[in-house]
Amino acid sequence: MQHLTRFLCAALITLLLCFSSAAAQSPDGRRAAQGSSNRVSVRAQAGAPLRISSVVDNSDDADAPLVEFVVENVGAKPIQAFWISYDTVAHGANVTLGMGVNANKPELTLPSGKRRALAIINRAKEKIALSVDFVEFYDGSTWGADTARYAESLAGERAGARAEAERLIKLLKMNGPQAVKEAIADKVNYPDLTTGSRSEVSFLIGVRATRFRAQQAYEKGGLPAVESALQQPYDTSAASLSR
Amino acid sequence: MNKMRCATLLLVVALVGTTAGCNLQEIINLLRSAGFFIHTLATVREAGRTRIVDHPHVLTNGFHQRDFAGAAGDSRRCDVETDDTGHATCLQGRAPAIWEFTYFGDRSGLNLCANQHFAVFSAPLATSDILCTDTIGIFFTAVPDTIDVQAPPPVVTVYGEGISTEYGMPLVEYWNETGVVVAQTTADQVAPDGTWISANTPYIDPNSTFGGAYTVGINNVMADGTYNTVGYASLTVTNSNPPPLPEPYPEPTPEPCNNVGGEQMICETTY
Repeated sequence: MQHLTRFLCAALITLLLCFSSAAAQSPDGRRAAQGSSNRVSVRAQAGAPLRISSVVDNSDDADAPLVEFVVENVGAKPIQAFWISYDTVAHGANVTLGMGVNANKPELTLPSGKRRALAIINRAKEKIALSVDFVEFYDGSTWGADTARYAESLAGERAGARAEAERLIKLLKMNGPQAVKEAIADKVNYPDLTTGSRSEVSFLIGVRATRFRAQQAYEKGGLPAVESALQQPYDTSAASLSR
Repeated sequence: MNKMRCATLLLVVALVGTTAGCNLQEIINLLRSAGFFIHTLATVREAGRTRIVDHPHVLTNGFHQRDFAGAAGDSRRCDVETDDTGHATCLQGRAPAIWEFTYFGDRSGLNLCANQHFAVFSAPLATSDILCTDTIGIFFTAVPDTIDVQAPPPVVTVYGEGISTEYGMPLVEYWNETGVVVAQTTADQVAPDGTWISANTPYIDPNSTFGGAYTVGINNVMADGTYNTVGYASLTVTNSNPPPLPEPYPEPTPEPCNNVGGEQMICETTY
């Protein structure tokens, strides 16, 4: 009886929120639609090696409410990874969101002069201010304030991926294929997190990514493919390739 | 329609819930740990426009970043695989808050956006979109980037990469802002290193366009004679002597409708 009560309460809450969310979103949409002309801006950043340009605001397109833009490497050095931030309003709160792009294959690195198209969804038709938060060059040097602490994430992921690949290769040699098959199916247990534990989490994300790659390789080509996958670097960064 | 459905269901469940003895504190406690949903999406470039589609079976991990007023729920993790429509639930995931999701890959094996991070806002029991743009077309540059259909330049050159004449001269397509091909032409010249293409500017009927944001698509000819789009360039088309505006639509003619039981019914209108 107690379970039934809890279930019914949960269902009730879900429906309440469904209704209130639908009711709350439409006024915002209308308000923003009226002032759409200056909805998207790009923050001026002196000396940024990555330039945001060709911004197209299609937020009013009901089927694809996108803000599309292009990032271009206007510096001299090839870019391996970068973080694009955008300030906006979500459910009434001022927030800074963003995306981190890390080249996981050579054709995704950005040599000097090369451009890459990106987009973000803007269903709420809110104002958006784009900026470049962080750039990591192919040689490992960096640029930017890195408020998103992306450098820490990248370092943790690469270290985790490398450590897990080495562990699995060792396991394969010592305990054989079955042990590796079981190891890559293991779940990663994440600890209770705080924002201070980013390095630890990033390390585990690297571990998780390696197991996922190994699983994919196993499904496609069995254990021989797993060994080959484990030899591959996590990404195309100097940090990964110098392993 | 969704509102109506929710309202009806709400009424039914409210009645049942009350009968089952939900109290306010219990509702609040459940509400505060109910979590949020994610929806993984991808972009595709089609007919000169960008569309968004479901990105199914993405394996991703969410890492809680920071709370907003009233945040509740579990900040531990959201390690999920989205379903065949790209949806997943971060059960009891903390909200409202900012989460950072990392893509590990997708079951298709293409692993679009693998290793990428997406910082998204979570609202209680609402859906946070996560958009992968790896599938978006490569942006090329058109020179000139603006043409007047009354006096178009003889040639438009598009700069990019991967343009090939191996199986024939590439096809250049002009899409208007509604995604309709308004002109096609074959390239006249292609750089040996595939970094530019030039073609005579096709005729765009000045009497049928007011101008707007056009897209130029560059298509290589493949071995089997089909075309493969290698990139797109934006082109602003203007018309210095636009055609007269079309006649305005006639006023809608309401269909006769009945007043049933003293309540005005919603009637269809035809144009």
